[in-house]
Amino acid sequence: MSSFYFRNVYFKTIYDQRRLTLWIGIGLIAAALYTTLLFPVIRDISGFEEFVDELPDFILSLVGGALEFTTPEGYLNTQPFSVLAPLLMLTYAVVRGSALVAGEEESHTLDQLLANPISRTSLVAQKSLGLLTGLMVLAVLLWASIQVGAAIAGFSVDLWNLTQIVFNLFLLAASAGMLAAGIGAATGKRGNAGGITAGVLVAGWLFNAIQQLAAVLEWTRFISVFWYYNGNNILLNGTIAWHSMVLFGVAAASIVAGAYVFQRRDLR
Amino acid sequence: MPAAIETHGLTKFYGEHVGLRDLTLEVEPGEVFGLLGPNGAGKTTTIRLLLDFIKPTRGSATVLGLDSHAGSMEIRRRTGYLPGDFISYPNLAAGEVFDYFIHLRGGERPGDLQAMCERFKLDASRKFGELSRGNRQKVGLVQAYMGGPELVVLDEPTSGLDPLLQIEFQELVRERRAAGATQFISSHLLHEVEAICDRVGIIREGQLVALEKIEALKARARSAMTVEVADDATAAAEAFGNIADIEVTEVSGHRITLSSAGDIDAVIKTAARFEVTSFESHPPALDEVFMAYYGGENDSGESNTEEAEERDYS
Repeated sequence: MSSFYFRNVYFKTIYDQRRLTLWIGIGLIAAALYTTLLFPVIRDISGFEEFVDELPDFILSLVGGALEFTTPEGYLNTQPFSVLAPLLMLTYAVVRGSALVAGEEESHTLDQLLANPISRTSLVAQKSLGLLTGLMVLAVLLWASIQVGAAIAGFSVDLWNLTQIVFNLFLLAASAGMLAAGIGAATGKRGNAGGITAGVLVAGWLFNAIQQLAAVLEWTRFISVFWYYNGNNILLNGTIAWHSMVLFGVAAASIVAGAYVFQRRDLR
Repeated sequence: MPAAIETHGLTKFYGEHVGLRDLTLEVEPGEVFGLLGPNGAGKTTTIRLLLDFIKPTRGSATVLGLDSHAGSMEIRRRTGYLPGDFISYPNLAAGEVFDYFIHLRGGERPGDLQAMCERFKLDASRKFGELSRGNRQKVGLVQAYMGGPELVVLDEPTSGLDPLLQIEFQELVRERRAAGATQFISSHLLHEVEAICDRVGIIREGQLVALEKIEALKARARSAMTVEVADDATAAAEAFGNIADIEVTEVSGHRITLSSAGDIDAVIKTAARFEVTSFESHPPALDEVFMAYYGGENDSGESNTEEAEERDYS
């Protein structure tokens, strides 16, 4: 019964994103199964490692740096965790984050929603929790699909490291989602929210790639969320706690600042 | 008992642009108050200030005895609201929109919801996005009135409603009034305000230019009369022109148009001296009062858009 979803703003948010969650979820499952099931084939191709080594460094840096395809962890670190999974998770986070407050404001439903006895802070909190729940569901799907795929393909992945990288991916997407939601809440403009966040992500992606190529630019990695996501190649080396804390901090600061401005500004 | 709505010097600037300037008014509990003015006059700004959607530049407002900002949650708990150009979630059925708002208001299903949907012939199972403009407005009205809130704030409530539903709406306003609810209604439609409001504030360019009981406004208005006589109208027109407070506004052929401040007895008695073929009296309409407030001051440099809008009122 659909009235289940209309109990409060949180469940309404889950309802609003149900279709996107479904499609992105399917995408993540497909990416996880595709990469894991292909691992035995890639591993056994003679000369593949050499072929990869001959690729230009810049290409390699864009897909996660030095590649190592003989162990499951090294392989999965590149795919899906360097490109496909972040791309899907971040797409979800930016689309939903910019829709949370700014999307509702632009479609002129925010007035009537706030004509009900609900505070603006509570509105932002419930909607943000809705988005975080969606991201968590996707993260768990990815985590489970990789294990299922690995089991089918007949290899195993370090469970603890897998959990850590999936959690960091969740945090990466959460920071992007909260940034988009925060900008949207502060400005009421969906274009600002999505555009600025996408810009920050693309810049971060490039910084993270470039710093791998030139030692003089190594410091730039500290301004990229992607460095904090998987700069340590978590599947191989485990996570670094403060990297995760930085992602968490970006998410928290973005949404708190957005809610603070939203609380004090005029609705459009 | 505190006033239902009270504002003191309520002012809102949007940058350089004046949204509302020094609005001071009081709406009594149980009153139906009409805020009348053209588009862009400050009606919506007033309503959005009352509901704490926007913050005043200066001044203050209390609603149901509570500060419009500090007491906003409690105010909204006790107030039904219909925004101008009501739009809701396109992919939700009307019933789901009601469901959502009912839950946000505490979850108790209003006993009058079903009856209101039937009254406005609203099919609550249809998706909002598929509804016609009139049906959307019905959804807005039902959600504003459901549960019988003690204050109802409506921004242009009848836009998009057909005449039959407008009458149904007016009936609803009267019923809620009888039940003791306060209703604050913005409109640019004179006949609507005239039909349902006890008192009216006329607002223009962000400023309140009149605040009176409907009856008092009507008393100010001059009623128009059209008399047709069998013979040439010149003699009759002269006779009418001699009556105090009567103004002959037009004479053509057999027809004379008069404007009266109220006393029509003398007009009838004078008319009796001639052979009258037709006599029509038009009740005083607010249009004239309204036009007097609007057209009276002719600020130079004002845009013509407002004049264009004014024509819609007649």
